Amino acid sequence: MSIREQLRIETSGPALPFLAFCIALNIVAGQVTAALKIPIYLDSIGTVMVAVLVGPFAGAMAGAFSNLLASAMGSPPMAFFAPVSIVIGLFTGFLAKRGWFKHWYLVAIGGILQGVLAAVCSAPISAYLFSGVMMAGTDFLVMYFRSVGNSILESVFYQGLASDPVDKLISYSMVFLLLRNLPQRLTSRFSGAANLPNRSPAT
Amino acid sequence: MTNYHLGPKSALTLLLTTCAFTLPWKIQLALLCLVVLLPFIAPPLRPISPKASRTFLKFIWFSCTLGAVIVFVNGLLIRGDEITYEFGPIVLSTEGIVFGLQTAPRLLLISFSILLLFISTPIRSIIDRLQESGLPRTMVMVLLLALYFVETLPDRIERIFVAQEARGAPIRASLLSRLKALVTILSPLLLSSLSESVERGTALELRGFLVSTLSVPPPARARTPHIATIVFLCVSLLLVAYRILVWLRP
Repeated sequence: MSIREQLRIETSGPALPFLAFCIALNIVAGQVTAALKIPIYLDSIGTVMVAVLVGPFAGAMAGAFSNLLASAMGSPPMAFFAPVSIVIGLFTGFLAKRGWFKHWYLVAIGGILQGVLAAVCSAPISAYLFSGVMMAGTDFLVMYFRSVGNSILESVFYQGLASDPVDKLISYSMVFLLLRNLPQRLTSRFSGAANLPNRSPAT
Repeated sequence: MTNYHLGPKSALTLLLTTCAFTLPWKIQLALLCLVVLLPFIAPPLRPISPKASRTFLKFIWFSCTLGAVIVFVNGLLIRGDEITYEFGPIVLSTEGIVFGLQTAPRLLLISFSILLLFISTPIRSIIDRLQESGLPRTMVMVLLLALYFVETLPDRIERIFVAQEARGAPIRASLLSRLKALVTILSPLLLSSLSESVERGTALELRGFLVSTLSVPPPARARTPHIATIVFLCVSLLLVAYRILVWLRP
């Protein structure tokens, strides 16, 4: 089956509006974390949610569109990180299809793996396009690694390894908790319902 | 309908981004000053709304601060043999300052080039243009719905936040408690959005929107490229060719 056909199947029915909601959630999630004064981004929570509940290709689409819209709404460099979001969507979707979102310990391992993968993918973009400066608080971490004698690529990669696994672990755990507690009558309308933990029909 | 000339604008964005990677930092800095002035002197690049205007002005101030911080912090943290400035514990190295000066204009030029496109063109026009270029109708619908949600979500979040605070959610407690509070805020948001998605999905299906949406050909419209588009694209290609030649030169 072609990717186009797979995407058409994944985005049928309620998945289409849900995909749009998750794109918006990626963009405004920062507002919630800022209001609660939590020092994390959660800018991929919507992508992870779509990848688990809808599918990997829809997750990739959510990630790419989130970055493009965020870029249009005042964070211009975000557009260059669309490939990283696509990787996050695809990787999470494939993990979910293999049942990794049915047990909390697999979710935790998946989140850390995703964080490492995100750091690997974003390091070359951040280093070669922006010399490690991303207009964020983590820039100071990059500068610190530079000051102790590392190259730009190494510094950006170490910064990613220091922050991304924690951020993705929290995103994955949050999505696991949120989706696990949703009523089955709603989740069963989505193609990824089988990726969630098994529950009794009464829940 | 207003013609926003997206072609020349997107070509200009491409040209400025190319400049950010091919030209020396001093020329980039000069270009940056020009780009900041463009919305005030070039009518097609004027902000489309007061909000867009405010975003642009805010970004100018943010960029000035950011540029200064990048140069200062790099000068402070990157060790070099040559010292430019020394005042007590503050020692700025020439190597760090030069690195900062090379980095800041590039980042800001890319940011301003993208921002220039978006403040002078309604997102709806960009989506329409993408549809004309062959973007499937499903994806266009996703983008339009996402724009609707981006506008409405902050209000919803605010209402849930106030309600949960009134119910005693640990919003001002320890970090772990605040993380738990995050779940109590996101749960109702997700639940309401899922219900809404099911309703909207059913409505779209009933209206036949999802029937072979990916195979519908985009509306064809013959367009001759604007002269500015051709000029901007040619200059971009020349700059890339120049950079490759410089790179290959022994």
